[in-house]
Amino acid sequence: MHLTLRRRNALNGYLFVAFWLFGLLIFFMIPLLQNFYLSFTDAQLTTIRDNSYKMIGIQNYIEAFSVDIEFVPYLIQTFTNLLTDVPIILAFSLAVAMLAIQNVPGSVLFRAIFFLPVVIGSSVVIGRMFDQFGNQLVLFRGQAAQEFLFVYLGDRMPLFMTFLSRSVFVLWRSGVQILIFIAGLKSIDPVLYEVAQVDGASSWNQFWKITLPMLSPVILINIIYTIIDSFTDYFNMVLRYIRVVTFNVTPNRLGYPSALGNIYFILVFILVILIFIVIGRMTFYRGERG
Amino acid sequence: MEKIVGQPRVNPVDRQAKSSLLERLQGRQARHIASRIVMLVLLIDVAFIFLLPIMRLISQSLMNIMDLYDPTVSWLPRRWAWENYSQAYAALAFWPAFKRSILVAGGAAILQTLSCAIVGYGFARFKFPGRDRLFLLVLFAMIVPPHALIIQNFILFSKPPFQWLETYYPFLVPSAFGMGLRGALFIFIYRQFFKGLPWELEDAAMIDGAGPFRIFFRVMLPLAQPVILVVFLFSLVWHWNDTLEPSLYLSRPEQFFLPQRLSIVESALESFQLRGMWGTGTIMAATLLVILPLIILYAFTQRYFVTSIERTGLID
Repeated sequence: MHLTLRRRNALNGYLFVAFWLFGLLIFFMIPLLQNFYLSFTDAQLTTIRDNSYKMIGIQNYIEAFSVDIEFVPYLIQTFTNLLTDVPIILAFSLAVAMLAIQNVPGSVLFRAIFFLPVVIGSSVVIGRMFDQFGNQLVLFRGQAAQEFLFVYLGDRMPLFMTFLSRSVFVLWRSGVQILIFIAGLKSIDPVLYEVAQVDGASSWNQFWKITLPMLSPVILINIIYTIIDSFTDYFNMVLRYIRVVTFNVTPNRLGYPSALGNIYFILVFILVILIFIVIGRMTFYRGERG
Repeated sequence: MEKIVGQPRVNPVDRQAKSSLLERLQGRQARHIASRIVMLVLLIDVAFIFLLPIMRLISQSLMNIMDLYDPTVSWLPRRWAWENYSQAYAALAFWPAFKRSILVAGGAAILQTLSCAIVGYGFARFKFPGRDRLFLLVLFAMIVPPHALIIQNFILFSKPPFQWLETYYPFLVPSAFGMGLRGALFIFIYRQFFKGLPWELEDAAMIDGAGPFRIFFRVMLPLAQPVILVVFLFSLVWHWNDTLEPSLYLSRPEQFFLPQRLSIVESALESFQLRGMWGTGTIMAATLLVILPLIILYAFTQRYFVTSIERTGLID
């Protein structure tokens, strides 16, 4: 069999991804389509077994936006949280990554600590920890400190405490991002910096003209990761609500939560695509070949 | 810029300094030390934030009810309540649950690490019709929360072709196909990594007569070692900590993994009407026991983990 180089290349490509495609079809696409179908029905846990449910059109979707008073606020809250969290997490993790690659005594230890949330931070276990301590997790736990804060902040104290506990929470979620940024920073050719130094560029300029452009693919991956992480998170309010609707409200409806899930990830999907298009244009790959 | 063309070796910051060479050096050294100290303080600050929840966890796991309610006790308990740990160990049925967790999470992680590498390489280094559209599917799979599919997956695995309820296959088989927990993310990471490698590697191997699979296993995989380590650790950790899928497919407590056993301990303590702070010490101890294997694993691998991530860069 004689094939052109291009054909052979394409065939090999298919060989590499074929088994994944099979898995995708069985474990993902078909369930997803069935889920989509289910969202147009009034299926319940009791009726799904004997197929005694019926199509009700887009009734579920209408209910989500017009009848359900909880879903839309949760949705808005989730997206606004995301808009504030993503820049904070990215800026913080880039700053920590840049600190961590400096040659400071004990830097290995610091790096090890920063990655610790990666190991335990993604878990339900850590969810328990945060649930348990709530706001007390923050630095100001003692009675005296709280009184002191109350004197100075007055009415604004709860807000301040929320901000603090939220920031600890946000920082705890940036482990993977720090790691990816360190990887990206280390992969930048030091020659670039040497050349810039010889040309008299300040470290400020070096950051904007070398570090940031060279990091652009890493920034893209980090933004995407952060979004996905918070959208599939244990604490995510929309998912929590969907879970409650499915399992804790009788009758256990299946059609309606499917519709909620669909609305939710269609929105996320649009957001991610937008980010890919906008930021993808600004990224710069080294190994690109047509 | 053009000012320094004539004297390229001098650091631009020191250009205006009119002092002698010796003083200039000292000034630079002082500034150097000062900046180091500032960095050190910042690093310690951040490290403290990171360690705080764990330190609190450890300290509360060693407290009995008296110490937990005592406002004068903040970090160190008056009496070290080691019995919390023996209680937690017994309540978790730690050893068998640990073995199950290792077997399934480790197995799924190994399968996922390999299968995702193959797929990621396929996406990164071959040009085939529809590739970019298929890659969009990877991204799509990445952002669909597992919660959206749990009902369908449950139905799928309970029906004849599979009938895998009460078994460990639902965790292992999808992983072997590059799916599973966050499989798409790993494909994405591998793809980004392979995309950044120089093409000369393949060209040279091809001229030497190696086929694509040989190139992949002999040239590319060894190069990907650092990424493999990272993906493996992530995969292991996420499988270890997952409770959503096990709670769907497994119903008998003697099959449960460690985090699920933790919920059993919690609900058991609640059903004994031990509300308030009563069970807190034991629950904290149990929580620590559940994540302890991960922490130990991390303590051993973090050196390689950190350096390996640095050596290649995940992405370019």
